[in-house]
Amino acid sequence: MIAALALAVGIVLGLVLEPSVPAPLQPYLPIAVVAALDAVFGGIRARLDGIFDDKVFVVSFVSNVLIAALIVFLGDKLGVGGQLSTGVVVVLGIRIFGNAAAIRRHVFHA
Amino acid sequence: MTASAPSPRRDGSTAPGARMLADLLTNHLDPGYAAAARRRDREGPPPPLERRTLRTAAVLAALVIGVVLAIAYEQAVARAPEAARTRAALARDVDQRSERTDRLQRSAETLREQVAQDRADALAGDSSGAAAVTTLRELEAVTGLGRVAGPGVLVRLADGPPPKDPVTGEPTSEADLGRIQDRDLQDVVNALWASGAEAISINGQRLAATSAIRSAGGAVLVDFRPVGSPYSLRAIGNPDLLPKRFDGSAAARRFRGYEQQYGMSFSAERDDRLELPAAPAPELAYARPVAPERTAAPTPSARGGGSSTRTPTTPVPSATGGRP
Repeated sequence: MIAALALAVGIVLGLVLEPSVPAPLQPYLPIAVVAALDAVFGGIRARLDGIFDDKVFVVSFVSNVLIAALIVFLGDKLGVGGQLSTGVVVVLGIRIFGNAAAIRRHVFHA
Repeated sequence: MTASAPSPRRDGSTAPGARMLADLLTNHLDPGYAAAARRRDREGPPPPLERRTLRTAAVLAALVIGVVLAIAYEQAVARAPEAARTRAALARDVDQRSERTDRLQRSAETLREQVAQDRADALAGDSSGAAAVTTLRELEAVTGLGRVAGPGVLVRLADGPPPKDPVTGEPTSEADLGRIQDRDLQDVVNALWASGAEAISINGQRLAATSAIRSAGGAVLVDFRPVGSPYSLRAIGNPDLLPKRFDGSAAARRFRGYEQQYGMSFSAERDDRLELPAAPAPELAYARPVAPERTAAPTPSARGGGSSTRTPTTPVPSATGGRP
């Protein structure tokens, strides 16, 4: 519950303060967003399953973002950054959809 | 993704890639949650201090996620006008540059005029000088490098209306058939030359021997300067013959057809007072004028050098210039 509140506060903070992203980090923003969404949906589903765990949530978010950024960084260096970005988005996107479906089943029982 | 909890099921699928794909498509939830729940069942909840630290970390993570989402939103919103801004800046740049070239061209024109005037003044002293000036004037008029005036024909062309979607009335992206292309202008210009025109300008751009009418993207360029619809072509020639001959040319007939078919507008009428500007003078980097006494010799042979490539001196009539 507090986490959901913190999420809302974070969104408001970001919209109000409009922090600027340093240029070298800009390519990683979309990937960070997808990784963050994956962590959020995973957390919500775990919460609904009754097995939410703070540590797993934090570690999964941080590692998701770091690994996704690392993959994209390596891909950029190797000249296949676009393809690897697509790969990351596909894998995380499948997970997001799956978790969203599970959440939907929990909420609507359908 | 993080915890290396043993995969709960190990079915018969053999290839590791296949199992990974199946895992990806069936187990969406991080296995770490299940593992943590099992550990909690086994060992009981962690001590309060650790629990509070972890809760704070989770709240911080959620805060960071929120900020990231907000930043991404801001960026997505900011990027769209940025593209428009870039486009506007480029358009402004283009406008400024073309204005500058216009200005430079005008100043070149006045300077050229002044040079001609000064030359005439300087040579006016004796009769041979005056004769030279007259010859020069005539040569300039013929080659398009001097301003000319006289009677002739004024041809007006304009694009047809852009194609519209029959349902919504919005402009569609299909090929704009009513648009005048470089080839259309070339046809009209060629028809004018063929009808006996002595000097032609398109939207105030005088055509010289090396002038090109071509297109780049959607724009028509005359001597690398863009011209746009409506086009007005001024051609000086015999005021009685030129309009009639042009009217009977294939190009004029075709354009009357276009008028019906695509809604282009086309008109050609006699005009007794036409004034055409000078064309920009091409710089000669390699070609050198040949001395007159040599050129007077009818046979371009003998004499030293064996320069077999010497150009024949009789002026090449412009009627054969390039377009057979």
